[in-house]
Amino acid sequence: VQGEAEVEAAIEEVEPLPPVVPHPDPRGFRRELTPTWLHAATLLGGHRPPDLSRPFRAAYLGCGNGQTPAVVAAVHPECEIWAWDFRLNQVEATRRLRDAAELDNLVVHERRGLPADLGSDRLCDVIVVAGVLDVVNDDLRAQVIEAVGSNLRPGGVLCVTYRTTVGWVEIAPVQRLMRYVAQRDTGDPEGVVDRVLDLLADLQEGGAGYIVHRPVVAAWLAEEVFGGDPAAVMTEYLADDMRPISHAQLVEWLDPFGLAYVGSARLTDDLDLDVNDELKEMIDAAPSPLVREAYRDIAVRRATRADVFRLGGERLSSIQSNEYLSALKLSGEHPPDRDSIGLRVLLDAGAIDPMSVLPHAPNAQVRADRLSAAISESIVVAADIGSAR
Amino acid sequence: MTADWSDGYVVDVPYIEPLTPELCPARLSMAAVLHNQPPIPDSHTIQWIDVGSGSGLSACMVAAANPRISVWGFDFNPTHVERAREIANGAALDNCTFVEASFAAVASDRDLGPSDADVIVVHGVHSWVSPVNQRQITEIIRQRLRPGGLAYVMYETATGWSSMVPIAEALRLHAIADGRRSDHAFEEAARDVLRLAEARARYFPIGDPESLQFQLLTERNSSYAAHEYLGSHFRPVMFDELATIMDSKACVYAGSVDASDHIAGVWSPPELTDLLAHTTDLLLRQMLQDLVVQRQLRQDLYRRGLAAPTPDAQRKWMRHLAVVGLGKEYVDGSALTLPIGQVRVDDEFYRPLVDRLTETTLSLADIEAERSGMTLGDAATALGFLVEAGFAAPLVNGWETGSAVSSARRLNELLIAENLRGGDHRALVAPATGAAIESEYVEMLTLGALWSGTPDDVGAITSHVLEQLTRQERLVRENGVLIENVEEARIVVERRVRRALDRAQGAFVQLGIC
Repeated sequence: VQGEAEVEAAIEEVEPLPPVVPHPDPRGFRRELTPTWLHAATLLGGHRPPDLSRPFRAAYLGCGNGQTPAVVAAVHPECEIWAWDFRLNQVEATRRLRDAAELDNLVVHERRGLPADLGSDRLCDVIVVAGVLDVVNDDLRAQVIEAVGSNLRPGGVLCVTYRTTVGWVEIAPVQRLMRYVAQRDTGDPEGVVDRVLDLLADLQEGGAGYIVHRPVVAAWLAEEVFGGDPAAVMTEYLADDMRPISHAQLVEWLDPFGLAYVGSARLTDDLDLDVNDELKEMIDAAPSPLVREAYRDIAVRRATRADVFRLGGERLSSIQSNEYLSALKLSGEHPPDRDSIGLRVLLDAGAIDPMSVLPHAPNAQVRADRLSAAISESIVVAADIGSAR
Repeated sequence: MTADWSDGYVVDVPYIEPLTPELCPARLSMAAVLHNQPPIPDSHTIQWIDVGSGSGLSACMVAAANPRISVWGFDFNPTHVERAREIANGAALDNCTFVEASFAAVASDRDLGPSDADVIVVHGVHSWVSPVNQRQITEIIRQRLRPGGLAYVMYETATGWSSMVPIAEALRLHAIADGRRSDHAFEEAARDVLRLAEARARYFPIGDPESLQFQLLTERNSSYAAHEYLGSHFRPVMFDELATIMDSKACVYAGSVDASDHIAGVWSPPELTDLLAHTTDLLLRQMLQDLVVQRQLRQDLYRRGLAAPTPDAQRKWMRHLAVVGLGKEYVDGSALTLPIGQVRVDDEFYRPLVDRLTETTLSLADIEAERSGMTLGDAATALGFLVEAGFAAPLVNGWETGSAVSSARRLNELLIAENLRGGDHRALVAPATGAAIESEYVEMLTLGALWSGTPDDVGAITSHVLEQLTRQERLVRENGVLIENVEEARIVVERRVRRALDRAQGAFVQLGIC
């Protein structure tokens, strides 16, 4: 039995944990943003999934380089996929991909601004808002939320990805300084990243408190900025504002439209696998769902989230849930218990995939192959899983 | 916690009642001059507006110490406005008016209060209200600040508070789930959130300035903490955010009200001095400075249109700057806390200056003449140190000639009377400074006893103070430790009474309090 002094000594000797460096979400294809995946995520979150057994409409607000909407359009020829981004270069990239893969069901909105009807009077079954709400100004943010709220079909699902306050709030002042300097730089555009990095290096060497004495900021600078690809520094940190948001803020914005939180599109996020017993106990005992999510983010310093919402919260009874889960088709070897932690882990790890609910059209694989060839990265578009590997 | 009409601001517990000397015209005037701008003119009745005046105590301080100034306070919270009027009426201050009005109402109705203000202050508001209300506030400044007028905006900065944002949100969400009144709900929430760190949540460790705030969560006055953390819109901001908006309202950053703001060397370690000195972009330099020292709050001074005075005019304004002593004793070898850390100052230079302040006021010209070879800039540095270290405060020229002494006395008597009924005021209005100075409970009660006719006798006043402490079930605290032993408490109180009596016959006379 240890005495008090020994316990105190032991506490003092506890090594500080290394800082959790925030990383932005990848820019390419993301299978957790496909309708097939979101259908499974909604179901595993205990809610009635959207009806994807018939031709559906999906909208991508923040289409990025277009790979995710293009994959969805390629493997679901009978569905209408609509894409928009506030970044003009991303709109252009998506259009080029669509043209290269001849995806006639992918509509890329090229005019400036976000149309209130998302390009159609037909409602959407799935809407994905990726990397938008944590960047744009208050007015555009309100427009996006209004467009989502008024274009989603009752029972439809929404997935919002964003950089969290927990992950990025300490980074934001440095990023703001970087962007301020880059925007006013009058030198050769090729050298702007170097000049921004030089300033940061000077501050670091001179002992600037915010940069030197904050473990997360120092580690992020070393790993992401000084140790990162200059092109990525430009894209991720100099091109746009950084306005990280929290889960609670998002819920507050979406709640007036009847959008209810289902769970994370990253299926293991809700399992708290990376936290110790004491934190797990606190998360479980949190006095409200919003506090629980806040504690979860703080517990692991979660940098990004992919939150799934359903228009009209409808939790399934255990009987209904079992019926749906047994009907859920999965590729590859998987545990028999569809509600198990193991299943979520395997899905998240990419070992298995949910299969497309909509029977794939005869020309789907041809289109998928064409898109695979058009995307100059190592992904293979697969019609059977309504996604890509 | 918050109500439908509160727009996310905590309204179920009143805000604490700080007295903020930085809001007073003399302090703002000094800051303007030290940044090469003209002082606030004394050629007409100054219109001074406090936007978001809270319980009005600071506005009343300005009104009492500056009877020739017309003071206006706007606040959307009826509880605050009622309290502000109670203080103003209690001290018979006829030069201040409090109006219950939202920021939107003030921005849309120019008939509410003066339309041609000389000074607009926004203290403890900007980092805690919604972006919509922030825009309304800057619009009020645009509409009402006359050309050449000064706007003071205090806010918490991201460089010293960013890590507290997720923690504040967790506290707020916890308090909402709790459902009790904010101050009670805060205490429970703080205990729970502190456990996250103890349980090694990966969000920790956070920045040093925030770590200190975090560790103090459960020790804070819970009413204060509820306002600090439980509002829906708590968001520290960066300097350039506000400066850019103010610029769009034709208000230019003139400098900070911090007394050491004009002293370049205290804002960076030597290794970064050149970098900052060669940064010609004013906004960038301030952002860099804030990152270097992890600045927690800013007290920025904006001017509606920057003046371009001649060097002669600048020198004239500088030489007219003067300070009055606050009665603080100089201790050789003690360090001054500045943005870059603890700094030792030259005892041989500063001790005589502080000693002189016990006898007389000092102008910048006096300080300049103190040592041969000293420049006006050197003297301004010395003056900044004297104010920053609490030895002196800017002097209001001609304060003796008006009714400031009597109006300040009325407000001080009211504060002391409230302390006798359980209040917790820790400041006295000092007409010579046009503001308030820090005071402590025993000192205020000593003064109250003298003013109510108790003989100038240490024993009698000590007994009187101890009686009040006992009646209010308050304990004396010495160096942060509660003194529970009655005899020890008497010794401590007696010592403080002696000191208070000394100050009443010395510094307080010079300050116009007695």
